[in-house]
Amino acid sequence: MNDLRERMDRLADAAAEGIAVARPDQRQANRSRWRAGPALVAATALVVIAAVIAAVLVGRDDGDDDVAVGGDDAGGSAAQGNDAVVAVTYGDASLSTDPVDLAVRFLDADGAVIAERSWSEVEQPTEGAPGEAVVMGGLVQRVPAGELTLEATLQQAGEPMSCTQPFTAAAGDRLILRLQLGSAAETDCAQVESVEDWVANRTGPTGVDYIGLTQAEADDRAQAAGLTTRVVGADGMDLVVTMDLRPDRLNLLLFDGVVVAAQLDGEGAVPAGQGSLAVDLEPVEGNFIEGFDVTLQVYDSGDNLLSERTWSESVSETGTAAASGDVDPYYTHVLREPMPAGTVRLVTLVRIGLEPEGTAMRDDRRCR
Amino acid sequence: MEFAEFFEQTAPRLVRLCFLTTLDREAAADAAQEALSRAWRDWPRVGADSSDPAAWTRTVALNLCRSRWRRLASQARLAPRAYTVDGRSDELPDVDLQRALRRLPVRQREAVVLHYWADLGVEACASAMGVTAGAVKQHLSRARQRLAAELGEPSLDLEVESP
Repeated sequence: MNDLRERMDRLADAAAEGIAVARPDQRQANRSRWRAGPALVAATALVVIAAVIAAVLVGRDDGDDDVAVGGDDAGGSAAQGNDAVVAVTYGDASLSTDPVDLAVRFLDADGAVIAERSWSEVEQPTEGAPGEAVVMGGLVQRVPAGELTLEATLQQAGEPMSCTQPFTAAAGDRLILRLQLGSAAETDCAQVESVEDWVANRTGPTGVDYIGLTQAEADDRAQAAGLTTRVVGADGMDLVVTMDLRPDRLNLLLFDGVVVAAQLDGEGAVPAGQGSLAVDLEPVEGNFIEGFDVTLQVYDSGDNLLSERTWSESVSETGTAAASGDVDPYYTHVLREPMPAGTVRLVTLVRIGLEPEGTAMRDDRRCR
Repeated sequence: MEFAEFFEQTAPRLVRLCFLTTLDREAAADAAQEALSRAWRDWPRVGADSSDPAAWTRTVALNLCRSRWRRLASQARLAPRAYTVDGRSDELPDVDLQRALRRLPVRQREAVVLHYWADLGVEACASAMGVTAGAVKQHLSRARQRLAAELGEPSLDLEVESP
């Protein structure tokens, strides 16, 4: 076994040569801790990829539900962040106005105060207009996941105007709460929008590579590519920009300091409406048993069948199994299907057992 | 322990662990980078005296390695990269070992790498993999048989040691 260890050592050493991982604390020294979250969500939303990892577990006749469909990081003890990021917006950005006396509080489900913030934190004095202020983005707050409430109080002509807006934040959510004070309503005074909705269709082919970068990183990359940048939106607020056309200018939308969409002037967005579904089989716990087949059905939100494929059929189309005479291709294969963008439901039917081809399915397991 | 010290001690071995479990340099770098980023993000908790940050990061990395979703995303270059990968995978040595490891089911490969390369006991392997010690022994047993057959080394058929 020492020989195996030495061989693995040599292989790992050779593989690691040339790989350099970055110190996250150095790379993100200018960003607050929670900004380290993966940018994959934004990128994925923008290119409208619907992908599902189907993990099929066939245990040892324990009678448990053996089929699981999950996504990233299925299983294991990896801790997940329990926070969401919320940006509160009010009024129009980049327009000079009188300072706004607006206070907001974030409350948890028990009514305890998570944070108290003031709109003055995002207001900057307007150059050349004493007494006026300009806002260049929303008010960003990290909140724990759960049932939360935004409480806003606007002082206007000495009259306080308050309202509350309940909202739900899941871990990893990035939400925009658009305050619409001024009505008599005491509740439901904010529109809740996801960052993904805000930036939908606002990334072009050139901009895809910029998503997840800090503004400084985006500037550097753009400069190296001979492009200039400008920020056209920040933390849920769209800024007033000139409408001139400069094909070498990349328009950035930022949320919490990172690029969430980017598009060259005059460049179209990444085509929406079409995505792809990737399905992969993995043993979650226990062992694969040989002699199974999987039928995958994909339904749209209206329960219409979009696709139905069997695993063996999909594998055989690649020719790998026949060529090698091995079962491994059945485990390593990734089934890819073009799909219309949107939410899809994957139904997995598993046939277990070494039955002759053509017999009826038995022990079908359904997972939605 | 400061995060910087932890990073210096952990990163090189974590990259190697991820490579041996994925046999993909890009995926290994991506998983190691992400696991270390998460360790840093949660460092007040992960790096607390009472915890084992190396074990925590290893488990996160293994989960990421196991997730083909990340690998696909990495291949599609949707995620920004903080890491760099130079050199070519087809120049790596010991093609026989690579093939043999690649032919193992993921869990068996993880068990072999954790036990025989990372020197973890069965219980520690179980903890890292999120399975029972019995499952680890079973994976090791089957993996040894397959590796012995693939590599033609009967000496691989050894008892599981439990430090």
